[in-house]
Amino acid sequence: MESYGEIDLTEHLGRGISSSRSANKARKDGGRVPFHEFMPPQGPICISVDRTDIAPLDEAISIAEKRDVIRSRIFYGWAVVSAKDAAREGRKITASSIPGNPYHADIILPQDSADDRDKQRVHAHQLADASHWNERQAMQIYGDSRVDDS
Amino acid sequence: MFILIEEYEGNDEVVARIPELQAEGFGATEIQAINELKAFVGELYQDLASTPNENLGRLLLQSKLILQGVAGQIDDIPDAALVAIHTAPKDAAEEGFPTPSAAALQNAKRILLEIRRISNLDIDVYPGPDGEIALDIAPPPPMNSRSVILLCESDGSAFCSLNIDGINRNKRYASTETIPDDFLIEVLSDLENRRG
Repeated sequence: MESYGEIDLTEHLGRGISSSRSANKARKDGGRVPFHEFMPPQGPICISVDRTDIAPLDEAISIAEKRDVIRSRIFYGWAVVSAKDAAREGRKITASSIPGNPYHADIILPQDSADDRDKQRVHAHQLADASHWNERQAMQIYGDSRVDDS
Repeated sequence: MFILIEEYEGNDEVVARIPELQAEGFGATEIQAINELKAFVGELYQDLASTPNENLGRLLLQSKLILQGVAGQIDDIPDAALVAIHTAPKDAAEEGFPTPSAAALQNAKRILLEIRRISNLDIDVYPGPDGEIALDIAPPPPMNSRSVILLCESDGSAFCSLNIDGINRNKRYASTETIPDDFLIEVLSDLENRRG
């Protein structure tokens, strides 16, 4: 599988959203998703994201949909943060292609948050506030027009 | 709560509506339409009162709580945030989160009502992945980079986090008894003062 190298700070990273409540909040609340969408699961300190700038749109959507189908969820869109914001406050970002998703990346929280749920919440809160909403449908339309332009 | 009367030119029918309840009555005159609306609301109240909250969807639960508020059976006529506290256990189950404890729900409701008295900021309520109830307080868009989240934990403790343009301040509470305290009042004031 092709790998796409290191993440540039001008890139954007999308956290896939598969909760209708979170998507609805983002739609009515100026793009803010609930903080917990950026919480790592209990244990790891990595937050999975997609490199939405380098992934061809149709492929990115297809990957996200397949991922959510496996989890019996529906893909609604991405909460997108700039790589620059993702890398603030001691967080690191790393490209981490995985089988089925060459555009996968991780936002890695500082080690001192490993056993501290409150510190993880602060990072999640900062990331949620720094994010904007990219609706799946809107991106699909944009993707179609982008294909037409080429 | 208000009743909206609609009369259309060239149409003899009058419609009386209560938008909050999605209730309406029809008649040849205003009085007839209002009487039909009253009968509808009466039946709705009876139906909802005899249905457990967990069997109602969000809109019907909201209607039930509004009617109970009007009837004086609960202290406050609910808004979306209060309804969200009532539906939080169901919402948590649907999200795959642990069920928030009764303490988390009671604390969230009390603090929500307290904050309502001291702030006009929008408050969103939702369950979290650790069994907590989040009160998510923010100025209206486009001020996205500023918000407070107050998390009422299932063990009765709480955590408060404030973001203003990338700067974070936070506080952990062993119990919620002292909330709203000076810290929360100050961070809400900071958010209010930076609106618009």
